[in-house]
Amino acid sequence: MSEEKVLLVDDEQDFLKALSERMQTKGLQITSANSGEEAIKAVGDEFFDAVILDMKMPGLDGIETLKKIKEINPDVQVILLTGHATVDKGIEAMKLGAMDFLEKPAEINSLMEKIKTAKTNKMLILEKKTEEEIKSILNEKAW
Amino acid sequence: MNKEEWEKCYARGLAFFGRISANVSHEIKNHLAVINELGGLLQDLSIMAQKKDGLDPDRVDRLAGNITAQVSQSDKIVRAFNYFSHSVDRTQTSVDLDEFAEIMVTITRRLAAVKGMELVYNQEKRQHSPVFTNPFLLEQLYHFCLEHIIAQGKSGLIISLRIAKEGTKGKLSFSCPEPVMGNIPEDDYLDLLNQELKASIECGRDKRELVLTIEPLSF
Repeated sequence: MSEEKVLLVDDEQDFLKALSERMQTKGLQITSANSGEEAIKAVGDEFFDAVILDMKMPGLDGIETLKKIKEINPDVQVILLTGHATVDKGIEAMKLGAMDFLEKPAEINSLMEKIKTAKTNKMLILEKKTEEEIKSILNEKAW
Repeated sequence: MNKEEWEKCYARGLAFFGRISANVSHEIKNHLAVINELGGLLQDLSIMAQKKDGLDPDRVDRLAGNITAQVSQSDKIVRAFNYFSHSVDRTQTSVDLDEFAEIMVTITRRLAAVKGMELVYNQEKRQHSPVFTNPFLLEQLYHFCLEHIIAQGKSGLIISLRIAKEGTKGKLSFSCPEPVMGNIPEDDYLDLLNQELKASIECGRDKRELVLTIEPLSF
């Protein structure tokens, strides 16, 4: 079973609880946040393979939260969830660096696939960064 | 109402109807999303039980209870929305303010919630309080008041609605613990609604209360 570490962000308590429990049953490590502010703090404190973020929340909405999360960690993989997906919002989210955009209620297998893709993307970014760092060290040392 | 006023009334009324409909559909979708996850979880538990682990009856019972609660809340919203949709059927009818307040709070609670505020119908003594009026225009006046308070308030604010009858007049009072309610900005359409419903909106109790008063329409 996979051990992806996921941050779930939604102001709807019942939805947050239900989806968290379901994903935990499927073997994922879930941290939940009730607001954009809580999500930003969590991303600052921990690394996640994926962040699943609700678009419409009181205070900081999904788009604002996405911007702040990307400022803290540009590599974090964010999947946006919304009650009513619109093309405009989807394009805006992707331009801001969201990995994907799903409409509620999301089909669980599709969501699980996207989380797996997020983890793979994150690993590829890390590998590339590590490779660049090694190249940089090799160039600097000139041994 | 002259032609120009009628056109304004039509356009603004339709915009209001659209806003409430979109809000309600969003709320129903939220409940469906929760039901979808709870149903999926029950399915997952069933698959797990077939493979090896036993089924925890308490967990299944809790999940089934949560689904029932979600359906019940959705049903309440759909009923309220049905009442709202039929409010355009008649331009003059007897409106029970007690029922009206409960219905309107149900379908507009989310407008406050998305700003981090709470809207409650806080009537101590529930009683039949009929007023002869235009229900759809009254809903729009209610919405004017609510939107004004939401625009002035901050996250965490609790907005309480109460109703009262004073002789033949009906009152809808919005109150909150903080002095956030100034007078509603001038608006031609608001003036038109007030005129049509013989209504007035006054700010009181040091900006902690907004009272919408309507007189009954004549036959």
